Amino acid sequence: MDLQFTGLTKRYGEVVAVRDLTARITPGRITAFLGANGAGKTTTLRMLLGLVRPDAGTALIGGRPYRDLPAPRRAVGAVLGPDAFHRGRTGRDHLRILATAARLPGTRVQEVLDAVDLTAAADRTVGGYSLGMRQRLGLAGALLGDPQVLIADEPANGLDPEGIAWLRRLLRDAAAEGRTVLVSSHFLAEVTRTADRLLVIDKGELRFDGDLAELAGSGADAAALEDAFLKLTSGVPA
Amino acid sequence: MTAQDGRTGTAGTGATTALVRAELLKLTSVRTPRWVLLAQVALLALAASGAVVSGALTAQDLARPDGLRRLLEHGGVVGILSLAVGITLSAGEFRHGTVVDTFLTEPRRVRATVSKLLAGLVAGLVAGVVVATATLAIGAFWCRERGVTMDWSVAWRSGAGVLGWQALYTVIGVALGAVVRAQATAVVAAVVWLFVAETAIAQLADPVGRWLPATAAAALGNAPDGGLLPQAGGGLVLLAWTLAAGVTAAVVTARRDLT
Repeated sequence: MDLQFTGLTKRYGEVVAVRDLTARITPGRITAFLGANGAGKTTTLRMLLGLVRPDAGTALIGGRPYRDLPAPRRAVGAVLGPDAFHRGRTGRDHLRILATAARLPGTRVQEVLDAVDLTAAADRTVGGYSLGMRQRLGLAGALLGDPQVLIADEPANGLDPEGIAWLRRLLRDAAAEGRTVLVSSHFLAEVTRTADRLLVIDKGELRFDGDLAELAGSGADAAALEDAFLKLTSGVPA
Repeated sequence: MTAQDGRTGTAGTGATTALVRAELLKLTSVRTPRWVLLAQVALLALAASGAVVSGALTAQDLARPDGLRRLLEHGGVVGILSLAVGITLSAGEFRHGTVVDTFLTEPRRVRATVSKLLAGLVAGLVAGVVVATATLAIGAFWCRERGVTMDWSVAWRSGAGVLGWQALYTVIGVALGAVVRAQATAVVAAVVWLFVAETAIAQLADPVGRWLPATAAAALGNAPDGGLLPQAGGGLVLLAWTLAAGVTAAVVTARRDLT
């Protein structure tokens, strides 16, 4: 299932958060969405997910706006941050609510808890979870519908090295299964180990759309990517 | 609103039913609503018993329909807490950030909002049954205690009114929370409106007062006359306010960005 941005634009008053962004993201690869804070990544993802209305252009998933997907949770799994939980509710109940609303089988709750290694803590309230555990719970919610598209905004935040390695495997497996994976990240070192393709956005405008090797060289390491990224985002040609 | 928001048929009904079940699960999977319901019963018992024990309502009062109605009206007055629970069902989602998951699961926001309002109605009916039962039990207790035979023809009307009052207040709470989004602000706004602003408006423009929500709710709750609408009229006026609030919530929610 492709993701397609065409002329996507969003303004907040005088501020242009995203300007005329056009890109296509294809299945079977991990696409990293890079940009500094306030560059427009989150706004772009939220427009893709129907949470924010574009002022111009379109953001389509499999050729449709998110709101027109017949079963959104089965098509797209999204994680937009580690703080979208009621802290007085258990992790299991959080997932039961999502499964009930999306009319997914109740058995999926235990399956995704196992998949993110959160079963032991599932019946504790989220208020007692670490940041990493909340990230895992968010990913569990995204995986509930066994979606064809996985979108994650900074999913590695708060994960320990073991968690980051686990996340990398999860994303790689998803891409290997032919799913479309779009991940925004600040961790350039991790991007070099995970992503196949990059979108770089700065001040709302797309600065780069291509393979990792095109931007950072064939032996792309974190330092090379950082140099290239900083050149792009400081307005100096790479 | 797109065509899909208005989509009808089995698929739409099934989706709405699932969403309502999920919304109810949100309420039952945290402790606050249960404590609030318990608090309503406790406050009701305290206020109603206080009125009798303090002598504000004597045995002679309880033997008369108006006196009994004054006692049983307390069941509706505590409905402000059901309204607060309704607010947490919608504004609480913004507070905790769970609204993102809600709209990712059902991006057709009119349907998501209608489901939330329906869940509020169900929750309000449940609270209404509990509070109305407690109201009648407390009324029966104090009538027996004061050697008065409770007039059940009056009591049933009050009980039914309390049930409706609680249910509609919960739905209004859901709508208010969806529009205001800030939970504490919505609760304060509700309290100020229902207990302060409405009283002031009623005093300044007397004929208008009985058409306002809290006064219509009191009429629905079979409160003693005092210039109120008839019970059925009060119910219809409160229902109209509830529908207006619900439509406003759906329209506002459908148009908003979730940044």
